[in-house]
Amino acid sequence: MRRTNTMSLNLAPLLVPQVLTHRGFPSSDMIPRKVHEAQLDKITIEKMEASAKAITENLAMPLLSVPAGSIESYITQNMDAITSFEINYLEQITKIPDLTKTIMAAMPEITKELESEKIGPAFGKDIHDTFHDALTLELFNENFFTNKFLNNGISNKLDMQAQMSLLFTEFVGAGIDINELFNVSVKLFAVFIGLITGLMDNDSRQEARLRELASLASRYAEEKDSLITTFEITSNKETKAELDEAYREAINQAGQVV
Amino acid sequence: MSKPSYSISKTKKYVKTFIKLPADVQARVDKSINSDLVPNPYKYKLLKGQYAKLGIHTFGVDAYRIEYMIEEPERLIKLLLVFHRSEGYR
Repeated sequence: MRRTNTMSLNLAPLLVPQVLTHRGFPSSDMIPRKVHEAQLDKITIEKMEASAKAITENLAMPLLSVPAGSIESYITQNMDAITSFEINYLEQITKIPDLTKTIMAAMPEITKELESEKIGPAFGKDIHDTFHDALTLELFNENFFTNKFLNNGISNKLDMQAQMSLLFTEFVGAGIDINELFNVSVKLFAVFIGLITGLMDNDSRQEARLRELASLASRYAEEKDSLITTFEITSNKETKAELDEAYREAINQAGQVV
Repeated sequence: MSKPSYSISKTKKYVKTFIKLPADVQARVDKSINSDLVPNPYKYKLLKGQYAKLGIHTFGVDAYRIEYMIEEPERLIKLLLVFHRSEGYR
């Protein structure tokens, strides 16, 4: 087995179920070194390493051990345990100052590394491409969520819990099922962790599992995007009116092909 | 024999919103529709709630979202609207 050289990669996922918070995955060897040295002290790094170890053992390894073809059913059957682990993990992460900024600063580098297949060169390019596209989509939605979250907080001078309540209220008001959004965020996070760990281990025997994880990541990222896009449409009167008008036009259109 | 490819139909609303896009975005949107959406329109999810019941799907190109419907058995993709997703600042 040839392990990817993580010293030069400085990689790191990732993204979190944003419904709960907007913090990221902490692994010190995955953060760009300059950011790392500038922003994170020794205690923080130790905490991050402990969290990274826990998340690898509790989330990534089980996903990389179940029979190929059974990953989604494993996630479904263990959803309560995965959710509980992630919530606990996030509670720990939110105590680490400046981590969000650090993680987000690392993301463009991570997507570049994926695109160029520097991570997990033992695997087929389709896995990298699918993961890259899912991650790019998720980053877009993560930015939306973070901005929305911060915007609410700043404009209303609210604490974190109140910000979350307000955000939930907005989503519910727009007809979005918060449980659905939460569940897909949890699943997305788990498969991202499985993918990045598998790619970094660079063991070609994991090819089938990683292909399955990449496919799930793509599906979950699209699912989450449809939830947030629906939120945007229904919470913006102008866009909603335009879509409603376009729909009426479409059903009256007699299959005119352009 | 393989099934024929999907055809594209555009509403006036789609055309109206599309022509407002910058030229480079128009090119990217057209390219993605042809290379990603047309071969596999069911890959992209339905919107939620009332729009799911209407059969409206959403397809993303960068920060833009294209809303569309699929008409069977005509194998027709009806493009409804393209709009720029905000980045959370409102």
